[in-house]
Amino acid sequence: MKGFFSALWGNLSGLPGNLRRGLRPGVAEGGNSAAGRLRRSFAYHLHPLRVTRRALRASTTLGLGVVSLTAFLILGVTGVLLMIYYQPGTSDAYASMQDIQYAVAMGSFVRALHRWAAYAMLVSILLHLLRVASMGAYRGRELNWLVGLGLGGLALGLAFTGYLLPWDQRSYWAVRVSASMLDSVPLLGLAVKNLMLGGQTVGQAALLRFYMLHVAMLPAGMLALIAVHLWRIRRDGGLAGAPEDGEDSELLPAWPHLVLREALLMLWVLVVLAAVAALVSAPLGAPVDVHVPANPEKAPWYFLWAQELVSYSARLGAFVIPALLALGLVGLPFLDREDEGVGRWFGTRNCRLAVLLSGLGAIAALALFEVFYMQAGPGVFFKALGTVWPDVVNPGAGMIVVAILAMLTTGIATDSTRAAFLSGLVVMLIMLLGFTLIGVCRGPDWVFYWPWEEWPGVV
Amino acid sequence: MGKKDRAKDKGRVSSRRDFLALAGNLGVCACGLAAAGLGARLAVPELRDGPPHKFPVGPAADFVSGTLTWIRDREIFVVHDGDGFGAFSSRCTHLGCTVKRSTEGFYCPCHGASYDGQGRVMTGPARKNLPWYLTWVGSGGRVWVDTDQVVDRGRKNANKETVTGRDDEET
Repeated sequence: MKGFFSALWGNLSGLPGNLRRGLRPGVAEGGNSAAGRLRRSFAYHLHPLRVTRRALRASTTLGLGVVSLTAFLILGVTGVLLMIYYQPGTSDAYASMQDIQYAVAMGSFVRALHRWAAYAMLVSILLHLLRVASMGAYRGRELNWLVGLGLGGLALGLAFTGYLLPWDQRSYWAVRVSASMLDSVPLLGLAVKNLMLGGQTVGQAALLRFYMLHVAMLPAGMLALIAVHLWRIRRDGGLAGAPEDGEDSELLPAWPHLVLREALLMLWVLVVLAAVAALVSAPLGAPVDVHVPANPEKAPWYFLWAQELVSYSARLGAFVIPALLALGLVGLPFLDREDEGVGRWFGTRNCRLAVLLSGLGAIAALALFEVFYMQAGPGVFFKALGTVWPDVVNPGAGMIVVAILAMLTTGIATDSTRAAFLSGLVVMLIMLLGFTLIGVCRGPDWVFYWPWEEWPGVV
Repeated sequence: MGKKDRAKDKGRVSSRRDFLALAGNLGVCACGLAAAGLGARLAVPELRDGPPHKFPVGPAADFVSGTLTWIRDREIFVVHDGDGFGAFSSRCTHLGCTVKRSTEGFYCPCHGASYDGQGRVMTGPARKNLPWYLTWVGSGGRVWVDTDQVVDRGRKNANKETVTGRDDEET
């Protein structure tokens, strides 16, 4: 008995030291050296021991991966907070959104931050993809490129499923139209539609499924892929491309040089998003009318290009173009195996020139197509061409043709697969951006109005 | 097994150990696939028929001759004139938005398709005309529509007798 009490007393009096040692395992092992810090912290151990000076320069990567990761973390935290009040039922969802927006303390701020972080994540993922592609940084990193594409797809899925949850006019019609778009997708379209809606119409079953996907399945997939994505960066030997000689190739310890830069960038992202969210609140649309869409009924901006494309042709916008884009991106690291220019923005000098010309060509072609299409009027086309040709003769199909032409001419002129595929990718992205801007300008009856023109009143 | 034999057998399942490893891996994969399949099966909805496809839209006397009436809950238009009653869909054949009336006929606010007064496509991304449905007046004096039975554009019926081969459905 005496032994027990003296042992207990000894443990209690040694508690401060034991707590310190127990909760910070491995202090002795690494000491306070840079290596020690990296080894014993979870967040730090993702980093290599040393990085080149080039990797630390902002212009090398623009920190876009860190920005998207930060946005994802903000989305996780704000999303869980929103779950405290949100109710995924067709009769309660909109009212619970109104509660969050107008009654709950900090509700409108947290919701706005969730919205802005979502936008930031989509934009930074797209720019990150463009950065990696433009540097050919997928070279020797095929798996991580595919994992990254998976993350991009999941992010789009999160944006899409989150869009329905407020159950307002815009969200209902966006999903009802998207569900119809799946009818244009061969083979899997109908199965995906049934899985997505859980019924024949967009109703309670669909809302609950979207909610489950948005708060559980897609974030879980995202977390798993993020872990693999970060792990592969180290396994693949850090950033692609060798640093130039001299100062750039100098090796510096990751702690503190890299870790502190990342932490600082994360703080900046948080501060900027919080400031924007405090100033610009997230809108809540009109209550849903399941029989009458508003006029115009617009998709969220990140899907406006798709709405513009399906306004030319459902088959093209809902299936052909997204499928071609996805196939091209998946195949990119296997179709381009060049080592020259890896790690440089848009590769070699010839490559940069080709991409620039292709981009200018894309802008010119888009303007030409749209002027012709809008002047001639889709109606003229439609009457002259019957029912099949309008799917093949429109600005969306024109984009595919221009992208292929840019790819072929660049390939033949430069003898470089990198330059060829980058030209094609840039043409596609610029024209999709153009379709988005045109979508922004669409007014009632999906008629084009310049931003300074007033929309006619509609009943 | 000598070194030479082993080199020759490279890439083939040559020993018990290789075989067991392969069988183990395949077994794990099969279990994973089976689990994924079970989960996916659970998610596939048991689709019921939804609302009935044959329904009354109101007393015939309520429809003024020479007018077009939108039946909100069913998303169809009902027309009534000297020839009788007819009905066609108000759902755009492009991507399912509800069309609105315009001076020439109908337009779709989502992607700009337009139709004439009979639901024929005039412009835009829609490729099919708005479908017309079998419509008749039942013995109880109510107008009935069957959306499973697509009929020729503009077809109208006065009463159940003109609908060949059909019983009185109003029961």
